[in-house]
Parts: sequence; structure tokens; C-alpha cells
Amino acid sequence: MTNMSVKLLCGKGNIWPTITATLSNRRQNLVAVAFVSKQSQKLLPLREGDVLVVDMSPERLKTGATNPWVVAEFVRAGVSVFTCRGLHAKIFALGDQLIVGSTNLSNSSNSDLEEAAVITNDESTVKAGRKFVAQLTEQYGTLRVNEEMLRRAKAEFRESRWHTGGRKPNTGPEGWAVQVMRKLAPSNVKIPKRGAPHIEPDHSTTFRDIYLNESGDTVILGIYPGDTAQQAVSFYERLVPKQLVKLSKTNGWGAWPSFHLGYWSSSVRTDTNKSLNSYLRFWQQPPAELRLKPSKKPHQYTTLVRDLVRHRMIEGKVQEDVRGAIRGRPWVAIRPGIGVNFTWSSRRPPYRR
Amino acid sequence: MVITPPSLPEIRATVDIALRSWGETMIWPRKGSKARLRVHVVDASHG
Repeated sequence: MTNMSVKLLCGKGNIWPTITATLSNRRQNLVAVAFVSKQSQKLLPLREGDVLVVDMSPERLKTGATNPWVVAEFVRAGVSVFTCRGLHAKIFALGDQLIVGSTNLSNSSNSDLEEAAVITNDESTVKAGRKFVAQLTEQYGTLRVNEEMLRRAKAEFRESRWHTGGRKPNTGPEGWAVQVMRKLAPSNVKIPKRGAPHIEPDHSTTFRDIYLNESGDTVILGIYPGDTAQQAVSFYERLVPKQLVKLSKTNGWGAWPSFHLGYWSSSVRTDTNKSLNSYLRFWQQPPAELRLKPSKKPHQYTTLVRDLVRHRMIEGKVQEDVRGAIRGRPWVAIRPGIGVNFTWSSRRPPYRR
Repeated sequence: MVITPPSLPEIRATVDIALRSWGETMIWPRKGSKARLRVHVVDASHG
């Protein structure tokens, strides 16, 4: 049993390193923070399935308090982003920890401003914090941020005179990544209403798409094999796990389990503690009840969640979150995907064949 | 900070490396062609 702790964090530059380090890889992170400006994704690298509530109302855009290009980066990363007019809280429910304080999501909060916050793992307080953020997403007046909203927001945004300079991300529909993808395969470029522009090959039996993204001084190329039950069958049948594991350890490359539960075209992402190697081997010969073959009778979620915990695909303590996320859906399908990416970075020599 | 995107050959080669690790290859459209992007299985053993 974990001891309850409460700690005060205060001073210039003392809080964001703790927030960044506290982000959970295992449990969904729920964050409500009023204002969002440059460098935010570095400070708070939220991932697909996490939740972020901000104030992106017209009055905040006109004063430059919330930067829609930065919000778009979170949306592209698969984070569920909401805008709530009048939000002034700064609350970070990160796994089993809760941080509440004065910090907005900005570079100035990290480096220039005197901030204070409290961090606790007290179970009931963490639960209340998670509930507060979840309720914000559902309350009247809160809107889910979509591409159309971001387009309008970018037109309304005025740079704050206190935070001028820098440059806008360039991976939107008109950015360099789309131009590059149009040169690579003009007939296969998809610019979805939600999510990042990408290339979607025809008849790919193993993966869905390729995308290009940028983050700080890096450019990332991503591929998601085994993303749906259908793709997983072909992918795992042919896979030699040690080859992909070896690739993931090569300079510039990364690969990690990206386990989804799919319902029609939407999906609930969960994290697993399995290593890449054991994850790949597990799905090559999955237990009978977790079969990969697409079925007319997909898994009923009530028993599926229990089985996934039993096989240690998801952790017992996150099963309530998973069950909550898929509640009300009549069935879900297993999507044992892998995230594979390559990063070009100014800090890393480029990969040479 | 200015990012220089990787070149097209570099991107193609990178995608091919990933696909080869699970036994596939990409059939890239020729320059200027509107042919569609396709994936092919190259070798079931892909050693």
C-alpha cells in the first residue's frame, strides 16, 4: 500500500519538471489548464487517449492567451481536447497523482514566472480531481475541439505582445508534411477532419497509414502496423519479433506496444506494461478467447476487460478506466497495434543505410 | 528554429526499412505519376 503524501512545489522553474515527470504511461491523464501557448507539448507530452480541457474562447484567442496551433498539435497527437469558456483552473490528474496550482501551459510559466502547486497521491483527492476534469468535458458550454473550430480559432488568434516571436507549426493541411506526402504519393494523401494528415496505401494488409510530424527540432515518421484485427492477422503471421525489436534499438528508430480496443471506427487506447518483445510474442499466439480473426461476434466488453487483465495485457488498476471508456458499447474488437517511428533530429546523427 | 524536412529518397528508404522488418515492401509511384501507393509482400521468411 502506498503512503499518502502531499508536497508543496514553488518557485521559478520548479514545477514543470515535476509535472512532466509525473505524466502516466499507464493510466489516462486528465488535464484542465486555462491557457496554452508555445512549447506546450514539450512540457506536457500528452498521448492518444489523454484528455485536455483549455479555454480557447474568442476572448482568449484575441489576447493570445491560448494558441490554436499548439492546441492543434495536441489534437494531432490523438489527445481529446475540449474548450471550456471561463476555465481558470490548472489541474493535472496524472495517473495516481494530482497536481493543482497556478501553472498555465506555457514556456513563461516554466521559466519566467513565480508559480506554486501542490502534488498529492491521496486517493480520494486524486479521484475528485479526475472527476472534476471529466465533468468539465461534459458540462454545458464545453465543446470538443475539431478541425473546423481550429480553423476559425487560427483566424481569430492575435499573438500576445508579451510572447512574440517563434514560428507556427507547419504540419497542418497546408504545411510542409502534406506537401512532402503529395510528392511521395499524390493519390493517397488523406487530410481527415480529425487527426493528422497522412498517406494511406491501397491494399495494405498490415498497416493503415504513414504520417510525418514535427516536434521541437525533430521530424518524425510514423507507421502503425497491426492496427486493426484484420491487419493484425497478416502482420503477426509474418512477423519475426526479434527483427522488429532489433530495429527498435537501432539509432533513430522506436517501436512500442499500441494496444487499442476498437468499436466501429473509433477506438479506446489502453497502455500495457508488456515489453515490446513479449507483446509481439503474445499476439503471435494469442489465447483462444482473445482471438485476432475478425468475427461477426466480436468480444463482449464485460468479459473482454476481465480476460485482458487476466492475461496482463492491461493492468488491474486501470480496468475501471477502460470499462468506463467503453461503457455503453455493445461490443469491441481487439486492435493489437504497434507504433513504429523514425526520428530525424538535430541532436542525433541521421540514419544511414 | 528552422526544420529541414528529410528528402523524399530518405523518407522512402526509411519506410522501406520498417516494412522490410515484417516482410513487405512499398511500391512507390513514379515521380509525377498519379498511380496509387501499394504494399507488397516480398518474402514470408524475410531474413
